[in-house]
Amino acid sequence: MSIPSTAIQQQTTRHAPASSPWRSVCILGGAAALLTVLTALIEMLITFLPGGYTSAGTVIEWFALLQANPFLGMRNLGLLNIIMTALSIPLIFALYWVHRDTTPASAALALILALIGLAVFYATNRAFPMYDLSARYAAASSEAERAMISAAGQAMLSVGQSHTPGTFLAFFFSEVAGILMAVVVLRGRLLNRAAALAGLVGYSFLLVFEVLSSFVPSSHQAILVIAMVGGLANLTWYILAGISLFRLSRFTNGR
Amino acid sequence: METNTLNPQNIPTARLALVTADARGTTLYRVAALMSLLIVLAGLTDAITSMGVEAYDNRAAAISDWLALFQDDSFAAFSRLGLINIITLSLGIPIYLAFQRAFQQRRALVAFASMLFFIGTAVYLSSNTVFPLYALSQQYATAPAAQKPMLEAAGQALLEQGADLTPGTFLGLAFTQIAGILIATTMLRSAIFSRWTGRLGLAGFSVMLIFFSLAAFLPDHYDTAMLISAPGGLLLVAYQLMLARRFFQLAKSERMDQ
Repeated sequence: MSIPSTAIQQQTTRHAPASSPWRSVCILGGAAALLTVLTALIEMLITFLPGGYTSAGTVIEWFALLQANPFLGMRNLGLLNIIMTALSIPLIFALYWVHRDTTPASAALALILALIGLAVFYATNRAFPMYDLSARYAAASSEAERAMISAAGQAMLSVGQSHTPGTFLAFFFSEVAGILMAVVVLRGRLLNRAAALAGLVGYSFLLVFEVLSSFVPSSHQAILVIAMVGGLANLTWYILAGISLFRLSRFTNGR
Repeated sequence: METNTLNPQNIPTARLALVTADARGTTLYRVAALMSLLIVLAGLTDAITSMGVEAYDNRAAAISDWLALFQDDSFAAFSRLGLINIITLSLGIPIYLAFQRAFQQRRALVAFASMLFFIGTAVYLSSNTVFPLYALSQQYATAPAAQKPMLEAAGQALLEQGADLTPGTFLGLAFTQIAGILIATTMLRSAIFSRWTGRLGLAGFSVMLIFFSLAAFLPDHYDTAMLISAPGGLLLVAYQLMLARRFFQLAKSERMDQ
């Protein structure tokens, strides 16, 4: 492969790891990755607490859960996903930033897909409006009012209940972006290879999980296994990617 | 841990090895060409499957009919409520990245157009309710009679919020069509793409912008809107084919330059 030497000089000069912006971006991305792991562990811990596995079926049951335990109700409607999605912004940006010369097109595409995915996620998440609606339902004075609020709640649930067709597009975009970014990391060789492989496996399994849980909900057992493998591989990805970004932030090359 | 690959002294070597097809743009151009062809395929599928089917404003059908259509003919329901638009807009994302690379001399305008396209896509994907309506139809199919009115009311709200070609989804579509017009204008001002490609794009996106406006805000003139959409669709099919051809040529020339 013949490469113009000026291009290489330009790349290495532009991306000197010693530079301050490089360091800040890597540190921020690394910290976000490790905070995501922490949030995921809290999510798991909550599941094992009394009532942590409680969920709701009908819209009335959702209203009751949100009134009895607002945190648990909103958590079941993606409250912790809101935090994890916010944390994914600095991480995906850091990964784009460090790969923007080695694989610029793929890294940019992964960044854009991820940002579109999270914009769709935030626009369609209904945890807070459902909480508000549950309070209105509790305060409703007539049967007609309760029926109207139930219908509004049902519409919201159809859009924002996690891992249903309503939330499919947001998760689909995020997971495709994750797969693409893992490929970028694998090809870029600036970060840990194991991180990339874990990311590839994790996001691929989570994508399959998303398709099955949204469109083939009858396959419960398979969905659980796939989600478990995907979740564990994804946690590994966050840990290794975070550590790699911290390491990368420390390097200096004399410039 | 691959500590050796993280060694700063290895970074220039790694970079040397990684000035890949990705960095040269060949992969991006090829992907963009492929996406253009897939958009044509999606458009043709939409046109062929719509043939012989009576066209009517999506708001005109009763919600119970939509919920039944999802169960009886899922493809028709998904297609009429915007799945094809979701697919074509998603496929357009790499194409706008390829425009960024192709128009090196007009970066500001292309960056602005791309931003509009990405925002429009995100808005459309967020506001379209085809998937929530599908979820609701699943519940509706097995719900007891007493629960059906509540599900119908919820469905009506979803239909108003995000049925395709209605005010609920207009903004997302409008942003993406304006982005297309800006790109086509850029094509006319540069020599990267042929003038015919620019003209086809300009005409196609303008016609579709008029179509989306009419369909959303003048439902009484839905038949007129549909008459406009047919030539608009054909113009855009021709535009996408020319785009695909040119992207393949750009990929080839980038490869030969190395």
